[in-house]
Amino acid sequence: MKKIKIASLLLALMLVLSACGGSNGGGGAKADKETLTVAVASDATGLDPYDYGNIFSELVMRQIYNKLMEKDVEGNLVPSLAEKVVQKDDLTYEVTLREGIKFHNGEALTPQDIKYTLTRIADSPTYGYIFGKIDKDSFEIADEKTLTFKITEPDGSFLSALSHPAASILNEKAVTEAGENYAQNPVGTGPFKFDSRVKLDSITLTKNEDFWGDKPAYGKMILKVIPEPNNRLIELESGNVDIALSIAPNDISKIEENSNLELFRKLDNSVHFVALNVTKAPFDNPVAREALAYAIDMKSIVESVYMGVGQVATGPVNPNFPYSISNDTPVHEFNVEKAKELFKEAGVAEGTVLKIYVNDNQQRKDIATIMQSQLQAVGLNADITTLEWGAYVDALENKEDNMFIMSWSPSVIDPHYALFSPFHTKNMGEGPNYMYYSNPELDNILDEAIKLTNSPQREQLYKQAQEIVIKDKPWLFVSNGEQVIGAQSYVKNFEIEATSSQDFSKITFE
Amino acid sequence: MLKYITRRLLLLIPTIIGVSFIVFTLLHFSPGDAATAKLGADVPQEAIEATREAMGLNDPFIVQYGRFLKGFILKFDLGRSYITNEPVTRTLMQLFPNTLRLSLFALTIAVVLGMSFGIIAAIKKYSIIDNITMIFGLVGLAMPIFWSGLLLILFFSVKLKWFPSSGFSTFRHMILPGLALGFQSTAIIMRMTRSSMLEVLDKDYIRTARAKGLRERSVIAIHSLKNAMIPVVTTIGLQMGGLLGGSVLTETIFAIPGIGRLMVDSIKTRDYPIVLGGVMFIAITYSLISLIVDILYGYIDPKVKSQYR
Repeated sequence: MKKIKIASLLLALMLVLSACGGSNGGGGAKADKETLTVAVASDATGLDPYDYGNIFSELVMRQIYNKLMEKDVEGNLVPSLAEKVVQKDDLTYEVTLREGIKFHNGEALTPQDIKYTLTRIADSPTYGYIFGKIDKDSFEIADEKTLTFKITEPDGSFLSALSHPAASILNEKAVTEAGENYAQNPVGTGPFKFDSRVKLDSITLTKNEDFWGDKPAYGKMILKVIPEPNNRLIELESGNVDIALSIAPNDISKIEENSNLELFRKLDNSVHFVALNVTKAPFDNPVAREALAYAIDMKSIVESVYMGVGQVATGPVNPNFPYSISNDTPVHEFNVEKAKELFKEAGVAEGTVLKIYVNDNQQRKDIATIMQSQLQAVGLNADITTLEWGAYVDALENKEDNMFIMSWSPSVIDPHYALFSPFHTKNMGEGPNYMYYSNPELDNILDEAIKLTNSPQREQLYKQAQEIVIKDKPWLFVSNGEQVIGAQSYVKNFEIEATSSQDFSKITFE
Repeated sequence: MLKYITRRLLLLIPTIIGVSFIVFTLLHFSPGDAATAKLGADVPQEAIEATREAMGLNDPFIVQYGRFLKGFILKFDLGRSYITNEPVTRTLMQLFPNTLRLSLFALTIAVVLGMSFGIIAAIKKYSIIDNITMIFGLVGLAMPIFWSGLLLILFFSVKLKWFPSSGFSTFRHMILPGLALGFQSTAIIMRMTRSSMLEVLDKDYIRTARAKGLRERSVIAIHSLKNAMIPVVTTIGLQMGGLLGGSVLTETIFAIPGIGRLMVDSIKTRDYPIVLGGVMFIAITYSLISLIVDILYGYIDPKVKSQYR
């Protein structure tokens, strides 16, 4: 009798529970066609272009702001808020603004806003290395839609830099009025307005009815913060979100096999690398560096660590960048015998211990572990040290390592930014040139090439620079990463981009 | 009694200052640099230096701590976040209610389930029910939250689709994280109740109570339970503190915007003001809970009450 009572109680409980679980299975058509819900991996920090410093802020800013120039899906530079930007001479740029553009607060876009934005970003400690060359006193406003300004030294990548998220155009009045709170109350010209935000939970944007371009087909975008990759997939599978970003490699097949879902993939702008400390033995010797390149089977490392996501990198400039020679360069040969021979020639004794430093990143730890076993095959030992980011950088600055693992993905898609910080002598001892690499020949080429605007000559110089780096081997190239995004199959007109920020404004629902 | 409470509350002040000093020192001497973390690796050294200067990170330790303490004592101001530049107190006040709601809900589950099963197990010593609850207790203790949480999600969100797997807006969102978080505490409270009850049930006065013909229900509910409560209440108080701090994993797994997740995120980005503020928030709450527990002792056991002066 008692047992029946308990059983019936449980049954009743289950009924109640199932009743309150209004199921929302994935697939089919979308019920609420006015809202797009996107699962992102982490919360944005501030939304002020001046110092946002995180890729999730970049994603949100992409929806709210416009820049003078923007990159299209193929990575071509196209005018956006500017009707055109003309380079008058080496140093002078003339901007002609599109007409009739309004900010979210109702203010009209004027040349004064451009002046304000560009002089402000020139002072940014975070992005000064890109925009510091803007001459703040050179701005001249010709009429309601035209202004000219100068930069202090010739820079062939400057037009490209104007498409950087930090150069998002601001409304002077909105920024000065909001003061310290601007980063949480952004005002732009983009397809979506900032509506509200629940910290660590979600950010809500609403359609900008006065948007100057094609207005979005839906009224509201919710960016939901879901840190666990597992949960992002579950939310996608159960139909609670329309799009999920940063899909984990081992979840890819689950999306591919699900007829209600669609997978989007695109090579991103990164280069992952193993860097060699060229200030101390054995890798101060180019022969030892070459030997190491023969000793490591990068193909198998990339396959097992990244599980088919991304591709083996072959050069310092990602294939998405102009003038990259990565696609024409073969993967370095893997040859144990040759490696042994070269190590011997370089005077590296058997049993030498090499110190590999990594930060607390699972993939990098895995790469280091596989390298450790591959090094054993050529008679060398490796000692892996894992450190938290700050301590990691400290250790590299103190040159404690023989090798370290990092990645580089410039936000300005120009070979200058892919090569200068990592390899120029001026940046020696600063991220990511913790190899302390310095090569006067390369310095000269980079210094020359930055002065040139797009031309066969510039192309030739940057290709030459890449060849020098590939030959010198301060880096062993590991891989180029990939953006992997999952979406419901009713999501149409979404085009994935190589950057971590994506454009959701053109999406329609079936 | 009032005097006792006032004294305890006053004692809170040196405790909090002590906590702030220890945490501040630990953060100050931990490796890593907030300016580097804020700007990222792809930024020149001068930029990092300028930011360090602007953030006041180049001042001597004692100056930095003094500045913090001054703001805290005079205005209850915990400073601004390095990363988002928002006032720390405001950020914490936004998220703390979520953490508190989650912990209280988990505690409710743990107390209700733990005490009822604990009492049943004690009364039916060595029966099947006792054994089942014992096994349940062992499993509960042994299962880490990140695993039980995922199992709950798999079963109730993915397979049955009863509850959402992330977010924290409605009561339905609270059930899975509450269960996951409360599971271990349920096991602990259950075992504590059982052993404490068993001890009391062996006492002479229980035999007397039974001998004078009291109904078994009153023997258990009035004579045994009340006497067995002291260690259980202590455990519950400790568990509440543990739940507040332990919500970190649950908040991450279920994507709940709470103080634990905020602190972990902030440790990663070296956002020290947030970490410091968060620890102090939890320390204050913890101290208040232990005060409440101490007061409760008095109501449960008059012998203890007479000692409060």
